[in-house]
Amino acid sequence: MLRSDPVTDYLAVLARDLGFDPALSRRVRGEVEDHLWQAADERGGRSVENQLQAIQSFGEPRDLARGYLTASLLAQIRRAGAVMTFAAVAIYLVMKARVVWLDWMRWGPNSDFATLSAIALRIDRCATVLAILAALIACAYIATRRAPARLNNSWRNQLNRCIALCSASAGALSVCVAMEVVLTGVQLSGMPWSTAAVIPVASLVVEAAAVVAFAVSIRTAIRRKALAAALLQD
Amino acid sequence: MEGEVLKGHLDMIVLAALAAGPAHGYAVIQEIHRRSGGTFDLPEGTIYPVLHRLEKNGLLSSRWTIADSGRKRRTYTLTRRGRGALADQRAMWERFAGAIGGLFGETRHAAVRSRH
Repeated sequence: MLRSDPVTDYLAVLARDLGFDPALSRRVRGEVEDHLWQAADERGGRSVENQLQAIQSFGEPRDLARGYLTASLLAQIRRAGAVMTFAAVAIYLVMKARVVWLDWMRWGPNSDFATLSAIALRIDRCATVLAILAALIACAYIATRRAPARLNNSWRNQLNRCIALCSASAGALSVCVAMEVVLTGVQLSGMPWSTAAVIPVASLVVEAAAVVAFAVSIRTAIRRKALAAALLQD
Repeated sequence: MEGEVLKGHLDMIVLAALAAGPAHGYAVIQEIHRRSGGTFDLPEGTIYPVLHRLEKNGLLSSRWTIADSGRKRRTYTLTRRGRGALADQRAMWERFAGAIGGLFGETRHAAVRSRH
């Protein structure tokens, strides 16, 4: 049976405490491993006693993990902000390209569903304006945040606002894409099926994928915030 | 020195320790300990989040290197912005220390005057 040593055990606990950010956890683990082995070596070798002394001088793994919380959470929310910008731009461009394609193919609106199209178009426009507004406010708010040395209530509230703004934009973008599906479906419904119809359908898939990517990045930010809160409670 | 007092100045302390040249975390701690004459005695792990934050703020850059021991280690270097920030903090600290020195000097003179 393999016997672990204090440094290895310490690194395992540290990796677990930094579980809210896997990439950061790998990096910090590598740095701390080098530090602890060098500290033990300079105390005369890798005996258990030297390892324990090195660990004692280094400090508690949980305290170290807490020191990384704010920077890591801010990085994640900035990532969500970047995905939001990418998703909004991608959806806008793909939507415009689809409209050009439908015009070029001379596929006009289906008059059988004129009322449905009018309602969907109105909702689509409102959702687009809302999504852009929320995205602009979120971008400006996220860009002006700075990570304090320690997580405090004021900063936690700021983080919640960032997540709320991103979620508002994601919600509006989802409605936007859903209305695009309705409008495109209505336009295609009166047409005989052809391979040319793959283009608008594929464009809708791209829009949906952009919204899903955005939602996943928000979910990751919320999950990391919850893990960080658990780290502070113990 | 009181840990909480020290923590308020950690960014400046770490930047100052790296002014001499690139170093990894353990060497930064040793340098701080040596140059402060052992006065700054924090848990060694405290500086790692600081190094990370300073890097995120563009004041440091870092890369993995291989030590003589064969271990991978992260080496940090002051960036141009970091040197500028250190110069600003040093100037601010000197003004602050001068002002406090002046206050304590006045207090000492007042105490001497009251004794006479």
